[in-house]
Amino acid sequence: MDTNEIGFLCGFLVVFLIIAAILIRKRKKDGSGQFDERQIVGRGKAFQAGFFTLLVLGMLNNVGFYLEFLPGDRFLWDVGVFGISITIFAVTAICNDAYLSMTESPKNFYLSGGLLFGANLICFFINMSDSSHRDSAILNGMLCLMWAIIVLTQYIHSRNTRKELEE
Amino acid sequence: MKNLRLKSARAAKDLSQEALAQLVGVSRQTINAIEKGDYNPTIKLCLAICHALDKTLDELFWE
Repeated sequence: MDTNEIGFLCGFLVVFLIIAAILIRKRKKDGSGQFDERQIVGRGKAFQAGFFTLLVLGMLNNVGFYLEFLPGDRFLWDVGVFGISITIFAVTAICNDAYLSMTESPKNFYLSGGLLFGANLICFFINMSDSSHRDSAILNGMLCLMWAIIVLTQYIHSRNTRKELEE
Repeated sequence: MKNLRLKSARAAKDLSQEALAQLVGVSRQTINAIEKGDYNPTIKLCLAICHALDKTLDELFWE
């Protein structure tokens, strides 16, 4: 590793630590990231669902590659397994009203989720136009699909929950 | 089982679910779930709700 790479990594680390410190301070100040007792139970269920999905799919993935059953790049399958597990976690948390904290606004989430979806969709089409970037395109496609499912689930759940508002 | 006593005590104080939720430090969905009988709150939350509504545990949560 030469001095340029070390300098880049150090600079990246410093920026990361500064941003992390700002976000942690902001969370403590405005109470964002706080979940009530029912939401904590819901998040426990979501972590459980995500973990067991990761466990089962990870095992199947490893068996599939050991038996030379799965085609293509192993990295993409591994990312796919993580992506599915994260999606299962998010969907389970959303269904238990435990994905967004008490002070988090769904609108901000739609904006950030929508941006991630849009950015990955654009990258997907750009990478698809070049056959040498096919794997990157598949990766972008998976992330795009993951965010689409999560944002859509949150939107549908919010709409259904609004109907339960007291009259 | 629905908790109608909680709902009527909240209505008597002219509090919305959102307002009560903010008073006791939980989400509106949690208050809704307690009133619908979908969630059993901890004793700590029960006490906080009783304090906010000026009621006793017997009046709101005991059968």
